[in-house]
Amino acid sequence: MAEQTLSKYEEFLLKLKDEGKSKAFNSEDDMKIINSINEISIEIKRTYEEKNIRSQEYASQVIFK
Amino acid sequence: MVINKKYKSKVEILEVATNLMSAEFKCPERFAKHAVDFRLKPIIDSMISEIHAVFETPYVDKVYRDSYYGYFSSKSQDYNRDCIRISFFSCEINDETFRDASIVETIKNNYLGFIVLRPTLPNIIGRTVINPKAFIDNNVSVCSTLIPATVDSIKFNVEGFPWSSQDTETITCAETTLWSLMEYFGNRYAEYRPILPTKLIETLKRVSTERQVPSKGLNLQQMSFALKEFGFGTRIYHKPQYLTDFNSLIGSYVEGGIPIITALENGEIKHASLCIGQCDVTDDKIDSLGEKVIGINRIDGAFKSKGLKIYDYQEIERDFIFIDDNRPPYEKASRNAPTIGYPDANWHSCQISAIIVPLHTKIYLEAYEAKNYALNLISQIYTPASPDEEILIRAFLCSNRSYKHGLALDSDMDIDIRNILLELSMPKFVWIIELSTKSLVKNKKANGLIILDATEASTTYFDPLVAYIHNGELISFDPSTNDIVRNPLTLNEFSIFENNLKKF
Repeated sequence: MAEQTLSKYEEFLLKLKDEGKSKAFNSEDDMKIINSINEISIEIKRTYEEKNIRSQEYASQVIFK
Repeated sequence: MVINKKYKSKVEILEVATNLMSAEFKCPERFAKHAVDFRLKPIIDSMISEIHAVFETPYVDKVYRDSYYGYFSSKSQDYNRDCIRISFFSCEINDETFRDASIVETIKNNYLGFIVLRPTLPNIIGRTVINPKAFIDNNVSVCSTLIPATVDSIKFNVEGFPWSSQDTETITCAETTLWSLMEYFGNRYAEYRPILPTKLIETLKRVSTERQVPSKGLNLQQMSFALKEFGFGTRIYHKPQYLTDFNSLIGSYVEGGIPIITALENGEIKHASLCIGQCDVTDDKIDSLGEKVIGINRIDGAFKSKGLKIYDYQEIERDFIFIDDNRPPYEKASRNAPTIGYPDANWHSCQISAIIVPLHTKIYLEAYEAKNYALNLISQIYTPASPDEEILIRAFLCSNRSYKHGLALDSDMDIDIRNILLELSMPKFVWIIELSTKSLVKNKKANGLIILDATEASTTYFDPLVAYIHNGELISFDPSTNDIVRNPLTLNEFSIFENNLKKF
């Protein structure tokens, strides 16, 4: 079977993994970060959706000429 | 077709235009002169002095011809169905110019575009494309495309942004804005088509409750609907909803090379135009940039607790470039005073009350969410080494193709790092958030990068993240483990990306 060619990015990741320098994003601190990112993202999305609804309400009201 | 050449003074050009209009459009000379002084003279006056004109008449203009058969021919008043076209060059033109192959080759770089004069007095300026180089006050970075034109049987291309004045009957500012946008996209990208006025009227039938001609204008919902029908995934932003973010949103989209519709109003006046580019940012404006008010409490709180100051490049005060059917093309004005150039002071207080952004249908992550997601990442991941550290973010949309092209040729970035980034799997469209400081960005440099997948609607966890490179680490997706990983990677200063707009 032919050896799969790795991209320079994949080679870079593999090299650092072999050297022990690569870290998965899964420590206790990392999980706190991930949870905070997720909670804040939900708030951003909700905020945006409210703003978008109000923007669309305005969009039907004024004629431009 | 009668062709008159060799007109090289602005006074001559205006006189010939008046005389031709009077003869061809069969109108009294005083009406023709009024229309020329009212509409054509402001454009000619703003052009460079070394301008030479070629007049062609009768000229068949496809846009006016469409309006003629769709509306003007049905009126009792007799309208001419042909137009007059003026083509501009920045070199001397004579009878032999267009009959000698070697001369034609040399004047191709001197071709500056054209203005169509249509018989809809006094709103005579029809389809127009002029290279920004033709204007005295250029030095602009704008969305532009190549548009073909034939002058005295010779093929030319003009680089610029399409513009027209409204005829106030078949097309008002709203329809003209849509036409101009589609003329740009249709000439630049194969997936879109230029539109004619009757096509626009036909498209809007479903969202119109009264007759559509003579036009009484359009609301933003109708304009957005039309763009959706023409192949875009539009987004509408109303300023009171976004407040301090509003100008930043305009900056991010324009920096990404997306012309946006700007709704201008001041209570009495309600007008639509396009914002298609910007002027350079100056050091004093960078210095006077205040800290960003993010408006998401937890992000603001995280930055405050870490003593981190955040600045937004897209909030920096500078002039933007507007395509306004009441003004000469490439009008410079700030986002806070977009109509300051109007001679009528009643217009000066107009503000941009809303924008419509014509996004590609595959762009699911829009600017507000993208920027705040990036700020969210920084606020949670980055711990500054010292208090009062600053990060200046510069966010814009980009195609994968354009970004990688620019990155490949950025000799400021280490070649090994460049090659790693270039072989990162990226979607068709990305949000680029360059991380910099005030002093670095004055030299057009950055030292960090966040790349987000603009085709990803979900902002859960790290779903939109392609790469976060800052402070000596790269956080990205590892395809061999299907997981997010952190790796050491030092990104030295690199050039900020400015290739979405063409500089003239």
